[in-house]
Amino acid sequence: MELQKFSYDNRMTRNFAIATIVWGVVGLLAGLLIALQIFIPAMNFGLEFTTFGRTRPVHTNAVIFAFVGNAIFTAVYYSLQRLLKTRMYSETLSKIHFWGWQAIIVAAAVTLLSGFTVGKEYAELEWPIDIAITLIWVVFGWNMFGTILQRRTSHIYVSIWFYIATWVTVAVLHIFNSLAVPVSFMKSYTLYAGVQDALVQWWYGHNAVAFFLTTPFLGLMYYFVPKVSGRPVYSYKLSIVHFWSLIFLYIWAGPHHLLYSSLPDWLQALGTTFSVMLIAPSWGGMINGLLTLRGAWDKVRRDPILKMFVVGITAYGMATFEGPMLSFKTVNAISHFTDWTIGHVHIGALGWNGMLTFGMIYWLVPRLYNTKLYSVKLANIHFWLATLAIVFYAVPLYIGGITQALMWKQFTPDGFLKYPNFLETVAQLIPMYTIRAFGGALYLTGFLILVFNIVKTIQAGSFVAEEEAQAPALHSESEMKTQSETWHRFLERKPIRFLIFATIAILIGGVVEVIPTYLIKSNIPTITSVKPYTPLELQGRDIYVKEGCYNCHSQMVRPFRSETERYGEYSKAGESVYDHPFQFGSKRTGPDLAREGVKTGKLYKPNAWHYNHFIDPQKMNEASIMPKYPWLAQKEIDIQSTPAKIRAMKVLGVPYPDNYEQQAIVDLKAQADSIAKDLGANGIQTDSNREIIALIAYIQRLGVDISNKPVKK
Amino acid sequence: MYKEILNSITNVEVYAIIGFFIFFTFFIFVSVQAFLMKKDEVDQISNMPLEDSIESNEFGA
Repeated sequence: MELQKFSYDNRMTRNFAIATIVWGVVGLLAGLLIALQIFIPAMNFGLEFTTFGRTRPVHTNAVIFAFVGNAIFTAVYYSLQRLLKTRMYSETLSKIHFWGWQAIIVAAAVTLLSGFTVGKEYAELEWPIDIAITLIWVVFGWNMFGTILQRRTSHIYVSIWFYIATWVTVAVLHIFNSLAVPVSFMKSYTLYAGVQDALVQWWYGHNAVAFFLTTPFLGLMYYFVPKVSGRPVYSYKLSIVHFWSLIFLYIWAGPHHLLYSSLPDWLQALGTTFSVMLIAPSWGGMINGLLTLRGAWDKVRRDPILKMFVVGITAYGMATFEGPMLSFKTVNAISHFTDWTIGHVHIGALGWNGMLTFGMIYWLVPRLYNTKLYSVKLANIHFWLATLAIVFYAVPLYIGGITQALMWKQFTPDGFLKYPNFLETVAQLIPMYTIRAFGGALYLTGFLILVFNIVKTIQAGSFVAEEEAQAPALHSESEMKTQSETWHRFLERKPIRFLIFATIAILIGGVVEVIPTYLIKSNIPTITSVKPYTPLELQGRDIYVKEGCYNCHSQMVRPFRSETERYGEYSKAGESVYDHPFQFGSKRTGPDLAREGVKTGKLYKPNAWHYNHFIDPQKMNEASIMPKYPWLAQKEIDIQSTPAKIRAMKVLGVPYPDNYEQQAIVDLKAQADSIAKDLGANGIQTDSNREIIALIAYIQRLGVDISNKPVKK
Repeated sequence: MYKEILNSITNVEVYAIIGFFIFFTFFIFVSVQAFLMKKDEVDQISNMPLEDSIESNEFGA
């Protein structure tokens, strides 16, 4: 058979690897900053651009989409060419993909810090950036499938199945979760409301973990672990079973983020069931990764790269055992809204994603530069620092999370909350937060050692842009399944059919869960006393979203006595039907706000208290860890945007009266004047056109409607 | 207290059971497919990452 000569393009692999390292530094620095901000309010610097509500999404986006994203592309651009014995399909597409993705990251960082956000976790970016992401993702897919179709191997290796599943699922998730009605350039309202929005968001959110942080990294694992250890994967058959089971099951698990919320119970039950079943394929993957090293354990002892892989895969095993456990309602009742969740995700992020990425970089860069790693010793030091850092990071958060949850639920023998003041429970966390920040600093230090080691390696080597290779051409194959091959063997040489089957597998769960929630009206019982927000409250809600209040405050009272005692009546699905987006939140660094406005409620505070509290929370409560928001009293409400916002809400089905757009401004001013007057009567002189007035109006509306007249249809 | 949530649909367990059966059938099918693969074929495919031009060795070329 004639051998064809060709070359692998290493430039894009190199570019993505460097981008991974650069964004890794940025993402980890942002992480360390917010770890400090959470217990030292002064670290927010009193500036809107550097306050936790905006820096936290920068950290999550930088780590997930910039650091991990670029690591994924590094692995894909390296392994795809070699596994398929061909060059990337198009250099132009590669370049558009690379520079487009970096431009999106920069745009994300700038807009998030400027306060442009949709208010949905891990999907914060506004609609123009969402469109750009879609286009670049299509370019990536085009380039990947182009490469697969011009391959010189008959068979498509398991890593590539994971890349294919990643591509299609992320596309589906991103498009459906980002659907929105634009109000203006850089402002939109999400298409869904309340419980439906929550369901779509966590269907997206959970599967961002599955198909951005997990499946592409399993692809990476299936390529690089055999590569580095010099041994084939432990069981190829296991990889088939675990691939299909994993992608089929994962998509159903989203509702476990909404246990005990006002989401319909059948969905919560499905979320739990599928989450528990997920242990099997996840551990299938872990076992397959670890056992690939059977007979190579002597190498693991010497090679820091393999050590990193072992810790990374073990962390994956731990996180994927813990996840299903957290999906049990009884466990979730304690873990949810606490730092336990943060500890859990960082076992995955620091362990699984971090360690696998580090190992890949240490292995790849010397080969791209035709040299040896500058210092194996430094890589070993990095390994130990990173491993210790994970322990220092996660353990205090587990202790803190469980402690706080138990304090929230503690009653006295007389039947009163033992810790009615939320801040008492926060005080217990401060030492834990301090140790966590130390863990984060250790992890960053280790990464800076990687940066030094890699820079030195690059300086010592010379870049191999084109790597010569040769392989026989792919002989023509039967279009149909042959007698001797199994159904799966046939599928493995038919990438488009493979794509279609993978798409079907991931769509089943989404369709079963999402569509009935829309079609069956009884799923969201309507409550007639629930009315749309007034124009001022709507503007205030937009400020609440803009400042990222949902990063620390939930709006979801769960049906526990400990919560109804602390916050008031538990939340109903019908209460959030006009909430575009929902603001249930996922973490209670501060107290729940779902009943904040109820005058007879447990938490009610007058307007003047809120005013002073926003300006300087520590003045009202010395132990408070909330950032100061002085600019809210300076900045003016964008009153002129009101008609467009009302119009967009009407498009979304919010029942404002006909031609209300202009009347809205009049109503807004009248309500603002009355709040300013009330503040004046309490000794606070302020113009009624300030953002703080709108935010107070919104806060005072929270949870009020059902206490007015609870008439159910 | 849970009345509203639990009343939203009757026989909620059935969804979890149906979900499990859909998956179980699918799982058995895929497992059988994998089990039927020939050993030499499997070995050949498993070795794909090791067939690059770059040999695996420690800490760089």
